Amino acid sequence: MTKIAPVFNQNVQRQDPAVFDYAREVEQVWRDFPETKDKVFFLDICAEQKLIYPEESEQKQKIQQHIDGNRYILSTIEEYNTVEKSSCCAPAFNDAKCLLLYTKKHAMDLITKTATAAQETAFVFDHELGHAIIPDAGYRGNRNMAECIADAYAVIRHFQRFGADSTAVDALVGGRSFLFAFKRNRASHFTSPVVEKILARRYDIAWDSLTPQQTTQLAWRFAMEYAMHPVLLDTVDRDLKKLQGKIGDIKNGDTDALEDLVWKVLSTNISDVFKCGAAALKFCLDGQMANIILQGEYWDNVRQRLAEKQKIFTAQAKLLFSLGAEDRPLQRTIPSNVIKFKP
Amino acid sequence: MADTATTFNQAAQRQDPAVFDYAREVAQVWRDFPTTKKVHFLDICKRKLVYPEESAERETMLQLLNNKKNLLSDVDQMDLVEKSSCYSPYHGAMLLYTQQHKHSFLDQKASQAMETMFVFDHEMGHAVIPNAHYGEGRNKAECIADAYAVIRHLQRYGADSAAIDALVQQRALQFIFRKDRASHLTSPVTEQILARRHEIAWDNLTPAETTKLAWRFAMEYAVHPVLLDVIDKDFKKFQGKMEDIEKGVVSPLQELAEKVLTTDASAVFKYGAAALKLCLDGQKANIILQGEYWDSVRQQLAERQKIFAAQDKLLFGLGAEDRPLQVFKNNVLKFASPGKRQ
Repeated sequence: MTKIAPVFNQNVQRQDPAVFDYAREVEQVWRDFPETKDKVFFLDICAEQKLIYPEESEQKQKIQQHIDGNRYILSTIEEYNTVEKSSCCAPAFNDAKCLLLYTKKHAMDLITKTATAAQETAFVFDHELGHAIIPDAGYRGNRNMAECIADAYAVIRHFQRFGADSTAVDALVGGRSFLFAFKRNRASHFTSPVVEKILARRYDIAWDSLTPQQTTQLAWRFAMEYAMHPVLLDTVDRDLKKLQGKIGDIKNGDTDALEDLVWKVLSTNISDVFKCGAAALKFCLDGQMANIILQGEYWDNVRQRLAEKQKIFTAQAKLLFSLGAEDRPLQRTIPSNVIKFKP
Repeated sequence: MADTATTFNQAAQRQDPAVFDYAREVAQVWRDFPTTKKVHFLDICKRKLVYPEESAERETMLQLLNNKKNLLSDVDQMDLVEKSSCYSPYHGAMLLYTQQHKHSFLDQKASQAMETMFVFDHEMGHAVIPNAHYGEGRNKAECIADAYAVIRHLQRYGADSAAIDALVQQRALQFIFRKDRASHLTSPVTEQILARRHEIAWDNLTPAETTKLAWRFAMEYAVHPVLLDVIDKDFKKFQGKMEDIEKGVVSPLQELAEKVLTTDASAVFKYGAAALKLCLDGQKANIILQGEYWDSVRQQLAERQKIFAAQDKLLFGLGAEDRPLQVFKNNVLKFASPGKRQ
């Protein structure tokens, strides 16, 4: 196990942010996880020659034939290439999985918008690979947990590839919160609580020292520890219900839905709704969404009030957030050091 | 709201540990949560309705109670077989077992009144807090109920009360060895409340705030169902051995010791160690773990717990034994070079 670690990381460390070489990545996966070689198939859904199999062999032809004859895979490729403009890990044949990678600019920015296209593709590749190789990350079980594991793996791999200083994944917490608030069927991708914890410890863990197996294990552990409990997820989801499905309007530059979110965020007493909503709002206020420019008196006021509420949120214990906080601010008493409400 | 808080806590603060007055508690609950006036509070050991008010409503309630199908058989089951308590949303009733429960929850030195009080608060949690009904995820419901009972305990007896300290370990032990165990792993939640026992002014919380805070603790720290399932599977072979342990049989504990001292899974170590420590510390009647073998277990467990506490929990077992973590100049935790294997 320890021998694999240097190979794993020597090859990928401080990767050129401008280059994503799909064939090289597949070779690397074969070395790191040899048991997956003929269980996970890699496709470039934007390319003419879709199957990425960096080895000329009879097996390659067999897999190609399987794919060519599999209507489900072909229709999924079509859907993801032309409609979704996105990637996925789909079930293939005989329990195998197919990683359908969209190698152009994805429909939604997942990572910081100043990140290179290659960095984004690498992130998506790692995310889908997480689905394919890590226990509990398949779609058959708890979907949100699967997404948390996949994002955790992709973030850790990002640090291994580009270094813990790379800021390209920093927008992911806000981006996932934004999608959770506004996209339809969004409750399956709320990975922000997990990603946030990994980012908070970016300098605490020696990512480069992890072997491939340790990397998958650590991603699994982060997700298990910090993924939002389904009951809470459902509560937050219901609270943000009326915003659902408005992402198209926002992309077209309509800010009404964002104003609804502002009202929600600035008035809520539920700490998780505030946290998620504030992250989504900040994502837009910081200009991470193309076509959305939030300027003028109203938005300056929003920025200010959001900053004030965030200060209270940070200063208070999250669990005590708004338990009578407005009329009875928390304070430290002497000498017992117990947080008390003012009468 | 502040007025309610004062009333709430004046009545409950620094309660006499030797007394559990069911009628007084029900009267208090009616004041704090008026909707609970519809709940049938039953003392199942006395087959008695506790309704601290002579009124026409009481008579109506008694009639309703006598017409409830299956209620009597449920009471018999809880009183004679389970020797335990429950809140039944189906009957709209709290079935409180007012004698010594079959399985303890608190420190063995706690009075029986404290234990009954704890159980009363736990069942109240099921009755008054959202998502605390079994239909909405059993383990989550138990976490909310336990969180509420722990906070109420700290309000009633003060944050220094040590009687509640054994709960984390008791729940871990029951999770591992009881048959229907996967629904009661509340330890991660109660552990977090106890860790903050001196940081929060429990006495200042109103009844509504107390229920909210219990809910929040449970939502924040309850084990995710996927992880719960993983841990559950890992402890499968211990299932159903609780009765043997209660009788003084130690072989299941030996098996647990082996598991705890060899596992690389942090959750398995954490809850396994908590359960084991409860027995090693003599908290279980009939279980005396003495002699060379158990001294060695104590020592090894202490060593492993030291590693566990010192390390990042998430990194536990990731090659930790041969590559201890150390801090480098840039403050990044690194694995030391694997001397033995090179």
